[in-house]
Parts: sequence; structure tokens; C-alpha cells
Amino acid sequence: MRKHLVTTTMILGLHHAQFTIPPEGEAEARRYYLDLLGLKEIPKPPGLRRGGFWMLVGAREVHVGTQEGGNRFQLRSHFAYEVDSLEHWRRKIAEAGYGIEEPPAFDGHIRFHTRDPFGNLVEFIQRIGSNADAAAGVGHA
Amino acid sequence: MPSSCVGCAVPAVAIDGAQYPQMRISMSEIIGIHHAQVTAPKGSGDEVRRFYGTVLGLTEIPVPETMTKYGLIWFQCGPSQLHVGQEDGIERAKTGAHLAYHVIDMKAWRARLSQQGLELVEQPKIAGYDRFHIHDPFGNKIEIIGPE
Repeated sequence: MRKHLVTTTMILGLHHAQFTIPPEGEAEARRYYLDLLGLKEIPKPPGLRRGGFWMLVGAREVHVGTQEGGNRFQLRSHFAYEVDSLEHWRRKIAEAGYGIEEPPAFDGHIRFHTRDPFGNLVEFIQRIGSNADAAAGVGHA
Repeated sequence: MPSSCVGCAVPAVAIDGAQYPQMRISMSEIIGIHHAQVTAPKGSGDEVRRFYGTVLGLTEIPVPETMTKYGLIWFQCGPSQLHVGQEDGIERAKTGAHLAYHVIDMKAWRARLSQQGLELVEQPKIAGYDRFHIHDPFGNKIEIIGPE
């Protein structure tokens, strides 16, 4: 019983993440996230604030909200999108005309940073070597 | 069109020459969120550990050696990770950006976070979910979401 109680009061994981874009940037945000990144739009429930859209990223949701003001290019907060083919994404983002930054590497991963059209920091990350095998094992369990 | 395993990197069909183009498409999709990073002011590491480690109960995980000089603190969060970076000069409380933490026992979380003196801001329910917002000690917006 005690074990059960501990389990039900734990955080299970991230349910969704939300970032913001300027209200006038919605069409451009759709081109970037839905067309370029290939993420799938999901319906936004009725009754919520207008503006923005929701997307499915793997098993999680990412919500795009609208908000005036702020300089997003200054922010270090970000989401890291996991991919299996970092070089494909590096070429695709560069060919679309967006800058590529190379953050320091760390064990078992390769990655790069870019900024969306509004300045939000976006990371692409790929697991390599035994790290990738372990992740695949978890994913198929 | 052969069926493929949703969420898997490889289609659930034998791979031959004809299938290769499909595999390439599948391999180049975004798989999911690997981690999300929020920031806190420089020098607030103790407060970061108290809030995310003790209050929210997330397990701290080691930051790789090549990254330690950036003052990062990392936590496991279900199958993903939460990274907390250091950043000054940001008005975090002004943005609507947030991370939503998935829980089961909403009553326990309301009690736990109220007892910490945090202000709970109730949010409209959405399709089977109950939810509220709080701010972390640095102004980052947080959503707690669980079954109604």
C-alpha cells in the first residue's frame, strides 16, 4: 500500500511543453514546425484561448502559444528534438536558410542548435553508440 | 501501403530495395522530445535542487564532464530529461512558455505545493484532464496535469 502511494504521487514525465510565438507569426510558425520539421498538428480542444496550435512530437505534445513582446533570440531555454539522422537535419535546416550553432558535445550524443523564425532555441540531438542501442531497447520494450 | 510501427524508427516490414525509400523517410523523422531546458539565475543551484529535486521529487542525474563548466543541473523526468541552465537578465514570469508535468494524484499535488507556499492558479479543464499552474522560484511557469 505504501509503495502504491509513493508511485501515484510521483511525476510520471512531461505531458507537454509550450513555447510562444508573436501573434502575427502563426502562418510562419506553421511553415517552420509543420512543413519544415514535419511535426503533426493535433486538434486544440475548444474553450481554450484562441491563437497558436498543438503538435504531436513522438509520444508527447508540444503547444505553440501566442504572446506579444520579449526577445526570444536572447533565451537559452529550449526543447531538444530527438532524431536518428542528425546529418540529414543539419543539411535540411541549413538549406532552409537557418543558422547552425555547434554546442559542446557530450558522451553518447551528437547535436546542433538552431533558432526558429522567432528566436526560440531549437536543439536536434541523436544518440550514438551503446547509448542509441540502450534507447532502442527501452523504446521497443 | 504496408503498416509501420508508430513511434518506431524502422517500418514493421521486411526491408528490401523497394522499401528503402520508405525507411529513409521514417529514419529522418523527429522521434520525440529528448529533453527540455529551462533557466534560473546564476548562483541559484541550491534553490534549483530544492525546488526540482525536493519539492517536485525529480531525480538529479550527472551532467557529462564536458558540460560541467556551464553550471547545468539535469534531472530525469519519466523517459525525458529536464535540464536547468543558468541565465541572468531574463523576465521569466512574463512568458507563457511552460512545461507540463504529468501526475496521477492531483489532490496530493495540490496539497503538497500549497504547503510550500506556492500560489496555485486553476486552469480550465480539457478533455479528461484536471490542471493548474504554478511558478517555480525563478518565475518559470509550470503546469501540473492529471486525471479529473
